[in-house]
Amino acid sequence: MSTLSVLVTGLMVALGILVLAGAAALRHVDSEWRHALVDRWTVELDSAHAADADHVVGILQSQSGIGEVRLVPPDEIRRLLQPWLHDAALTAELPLPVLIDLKIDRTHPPSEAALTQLLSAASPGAKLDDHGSWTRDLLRLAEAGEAIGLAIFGAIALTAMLTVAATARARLAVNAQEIELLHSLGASDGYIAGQFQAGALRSTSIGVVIGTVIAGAVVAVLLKGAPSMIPFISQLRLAPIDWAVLAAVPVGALALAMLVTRWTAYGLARRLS
Amino acid sequence: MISFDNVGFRYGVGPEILQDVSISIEAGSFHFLTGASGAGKTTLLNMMHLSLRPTRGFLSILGQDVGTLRRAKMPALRRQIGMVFQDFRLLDHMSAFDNVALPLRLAGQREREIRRDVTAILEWVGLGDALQASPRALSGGEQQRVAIARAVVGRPGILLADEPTGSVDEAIGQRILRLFEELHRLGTAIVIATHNRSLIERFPHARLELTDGRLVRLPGRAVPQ
Repeated sequence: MSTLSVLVTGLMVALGILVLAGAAALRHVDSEWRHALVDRWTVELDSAHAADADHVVGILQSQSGIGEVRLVPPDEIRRLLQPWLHDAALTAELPLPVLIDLKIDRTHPPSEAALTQLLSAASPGAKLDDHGSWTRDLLRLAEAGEAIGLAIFGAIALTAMLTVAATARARLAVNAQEIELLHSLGASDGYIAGQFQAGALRSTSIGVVIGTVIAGAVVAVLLKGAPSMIPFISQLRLAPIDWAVLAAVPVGALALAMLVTRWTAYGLARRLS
Repeated sequence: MISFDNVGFRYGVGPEILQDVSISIEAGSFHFLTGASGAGKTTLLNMMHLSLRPTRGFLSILGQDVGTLRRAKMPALRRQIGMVFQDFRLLDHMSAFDNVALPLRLAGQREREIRRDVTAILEWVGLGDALQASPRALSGGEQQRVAIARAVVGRPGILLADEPTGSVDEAIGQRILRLFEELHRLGTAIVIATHNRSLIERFPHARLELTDGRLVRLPGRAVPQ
């Protein structure tokens, strides 16, 4: 196998590992968002009714299914607005709504409709936001990303198989006379396929090791640096099972390459005799 | 050992180039296969070597009916037939030793035995000092002797040779035929395809003459000692 084939093998393995690692990381981000947002609701009071804040907090604290009620300080609200308005002076002058952060008991959540009704009665214009409208979109995006990652991994695996088969075919065609000689000396198709497999094992192993090392380095850098590079992601992590799956990629790639090489070589050896 | 009975052969839908061939090659016999270029000598040798199957008739090799022989049984049967190719067919990326060792490795022989047998056979053909030489570094005659060593190292019951003296000079050609004679004395059945009549006339063996696709057996000539 040529240097080019070794590099192609390495690239395929690296891409496969990276795509799978990305899909697994997205699954964890998805899960993190679900856990972080599903038990957090926000009550918003119009700035004109800021005086109702303590009354509303008292009502909320008395409701079952609400574990924690926190009045968000105005400074924190300004900090949250800062990235969108880019002007500290403007945020200082703006009339800010009152935000009350609720931690919901996930096992026994309060009725959203009943709570909305109660809040309207306590403070006109009060709104209850369960963050569902935008978290659902984000979660769908994460799920789509994961599905696309798995599909790309499948495409890479298929491409890798076809590449291995094409390489084996090319090598066999180049060595057609040698195969004919081996047949005439009494070699079986299985022996010839085995010889090609042994040759492919050496070069494929080199490619697989190169690809694994490259992908491992990239994954390590991304896991460490992603939170500072990617918005909305506080941390990127992989579970032990994900590491096990990633570790299985080079082993699987090698096994698949050997299987495809043997299968192709065996078929062609039969045809060349 | 080899029995042809009304065998015919054609390539694809072309004309029949071997017709009604009926001949028996006995154990320990020595035959020259002669005929003009294109007469079908190589085709006949290829049939004896299981590279081609007859398009009609009955061919038996070492007791196996070639017409019904299963593919899986061919490698073992081929290993009992040594073949010396006209163009040597040595593998340039291997040493002379490894080329000769190939049939033994294919047969699964142990490496220690391979070393012993290959060294002995290369010494026998006069190449004991060229074990590790690349075929490219050898002369035509030396390459031919490596090819002969490879054909006989597995001690086949039958040895087929296609124009083994075709690319060597007269002296080397005679030396090669002496090697075949030695093998013959050891009990190997030998068929040598050649159109070198001057060489044939120096040996007393029977001839198989191919003319217009038909095979005729001619008795060997008396050779003055």
